[in-house]
Order: sequence, then structure tokens, then C-alpha cells
Amino acid sequence: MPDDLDVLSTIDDELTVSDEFVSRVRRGVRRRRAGRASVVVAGAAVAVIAVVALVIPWSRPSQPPAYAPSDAFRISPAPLDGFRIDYVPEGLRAAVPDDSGGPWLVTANEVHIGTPAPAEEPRMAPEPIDPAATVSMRRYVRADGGNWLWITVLRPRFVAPSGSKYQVTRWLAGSQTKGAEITDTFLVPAGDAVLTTTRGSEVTTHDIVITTPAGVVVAIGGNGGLGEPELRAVANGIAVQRPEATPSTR
Amino acid sequence: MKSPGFEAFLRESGPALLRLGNLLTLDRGAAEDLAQETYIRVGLAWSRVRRDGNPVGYARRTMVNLFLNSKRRTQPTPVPQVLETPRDDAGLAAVDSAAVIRQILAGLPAQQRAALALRYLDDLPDAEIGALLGCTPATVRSHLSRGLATLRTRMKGEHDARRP
Repeated sequence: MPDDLDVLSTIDDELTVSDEFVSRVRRGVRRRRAGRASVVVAGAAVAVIAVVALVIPWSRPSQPPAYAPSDAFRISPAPLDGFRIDYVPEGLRAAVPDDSGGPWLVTANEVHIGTPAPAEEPRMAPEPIDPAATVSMRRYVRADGGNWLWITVLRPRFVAPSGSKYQVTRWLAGSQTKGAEITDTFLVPAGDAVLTTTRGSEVTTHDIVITTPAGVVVAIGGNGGLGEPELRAVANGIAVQRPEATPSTR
Repeated sequence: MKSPGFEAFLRESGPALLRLGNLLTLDRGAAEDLAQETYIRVGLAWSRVRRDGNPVGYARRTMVNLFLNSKRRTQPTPVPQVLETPRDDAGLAAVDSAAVIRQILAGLPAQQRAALALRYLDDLPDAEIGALLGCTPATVRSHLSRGLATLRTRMKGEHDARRP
């Protein structure tokens, strides 16, 4: 039998793991994880709404239910962790609530959201002196529920004393660009931006990563249906809601 | 002890999993897509998978399940016909031969193809292949035997048809 199986060597190719492939997997995990968290929250919200909708007619029969499940998604004009989002492409609306959490441990070009960091003692929660960041993400969806746009604010927790206050910022920006091809750098109202391009076998996607003067990182990612000009327009429409404090010993 | 990260695991195990994907899907692009989906699922469960101590086995099982599920959902894909003219050029003959093997494998039931790929790539015993495919070792032996018989018969048919 082994000799017969050797015929498979004719079509057995050596395939390598490219940085681009790793990047696509990393983004997929990140987005799927965020999506799951949102679904859990939305599910809980729908359950609460359903209970309210059932209870209210009994107590106040003359009034219609205060909420409907379709209210789980609506336009969210609120700033995202201090950033105003003034433009999103037509047809997209924010899925609420936003997905926020942290502080999460940050190591070189990696934010450990829900995964243990490589350390002597694997851990997820950072110690007070560890490099860390909070992460807030908002998804924008189409009417059919499809995810089209992700805006993520990664806000470093600066610790003192620190040799390099901006090291966490560099790692946060690196976590968003690692493995992707940087195809442009440019200025936007919120800070310095880089455009990354991830070419897949079927679709090509872009991300824009902004680093603000105060060291906060804002990442804007779209699916294959969202073109580079639209992402640039989103990036240009992001502005600081309140004057940012310079890195301090928060 | 330093904890191995997901990315290190991906880079280390990726080539082998891509080879398995290539033999299952018979297409490099599809293999990459299958491997990508597999690793995303492994990544989502990484804490647990790493704790269980057999991430390679988990990834392999995930890939096989994804492949078998996709074959259950979709109709068989038409496979292009192989050229019937004999080739003298060694390079062309090799390409031609690969196309023939691909065509024959594409005609096998998904479970037979998966059993052959797992035995060829990793030399897994019947029991382990059975655990991955969700069948008994006896059924695995049947898949392997029938798959190889089909390969032999059809390759002989192709060879005879090409003889001048």
C-alpha cells in the first residue's frame, strides 16, 4: 500500500507560510473574536428586550412595547473612546454597543486580548507596571447584518517611570500592521496614518492605522467590498473629541 | 517555562497543514483558504487547545471537518478533461501526470480522499484516521482499499489509452 500511495507525491507541493497568510489569520481571529463578543452582548440585550416586551404589556396594556429587537442595531453618534467618527460610507450603520475592554497586556507588536502573554508565568491580566492598553472597537454593518467596517481605538496605559513612553504606542501600531504590506503613509486630521494592503487569493483588503500625537492608535479596517478611497475618507473623518492629554503617568 | 504562542505554532505547523489542505482540495488557492479558516478557528480556541496539549491534532481535525462539511454542502465540482495526446516532453508529461492524478482524486468520495491524504502525509494508523473522519478503523481500511483500487484502475486506464 505505501508504494501505491507514493503516487500522491505527484501533486504534493511544498507550500510555505507567508507573512501575508499569518496576517490574514491574525486579522480573522481578531475580527471573529470581536464579533463573538458583540453577538453575546447583542443576544443578552435582545433577551432583556424580549423580557421587557413581554412584561410591559401586562403592566401597562394601553402602551405599545417600548423596544423591538430591531433596536439592537442603530446609528451610534457617540464618540469612540474620545474619537468622533464624522464619516462612514453610505448604507453602513454602527452595531451597538461598542466592544470595549482592558487594560490588556501589550508585548512587542501584540495585544493579548483574551490570550495569555508569553511570559514566565503566562497571564492575561497585566500587572500595574506592565505595558498595557485598553481596546475599544465599533463595527459598522449593512442592513443584512454583514460586517463591513471596523474602527478600533487602542489607548496605551502609560506607566512611570518609563524609559520610552511611546514604546507601547509603537507596539500597538505594530500589532495592527504586522505582516501586512505598508503601501502608503500620509497625514490625517487625527495624526500620522499608514495604509496597509493584504492581498488574498480572492480579495484584497486594506487597513489604515493612525497614530495620534498623544500616542493613541486608531485602526480602520474594511472587508473586501470597501475600497481604499472609502477607507481614506473614513480616516479623514476621524477627529479627537476632546483635547488629548500628552502621555502621563495614568 | 516559556509559553508557546499561537503565531509560532502557526508558522511551525503551517507547511504541513497546507500540504494536507492541498491534497484534500487539490487546489493551492483553496488549500490556503481552508488552512486560513482552520487557523482562525484554532486561534479562537487557542487557550484551550494549547492546554489540551495537542494543537496539531486539533488543527488537523478542524481542517478535515471543514473539508468534509464543505463537500457535504456543495455539489461535486466539474473537473477539466485531461488532454488525451501523448507527450514526449518530460516536463509536460509531469504536468500531465499531475493533472491525471488530480482528476482521479477529484472523482473519489471525500472520505476516501481524506483517508488517503492522511495516510500518505502523516502515516496515521487506521484508528487515528477513523477518529478524524468519524468512522471505525474497519471503515478506514475500506476507504483506503477502495480509494487505492480506484487510483490503480483509472491510472492503468489512462496509461493504456495513451499508448500509441
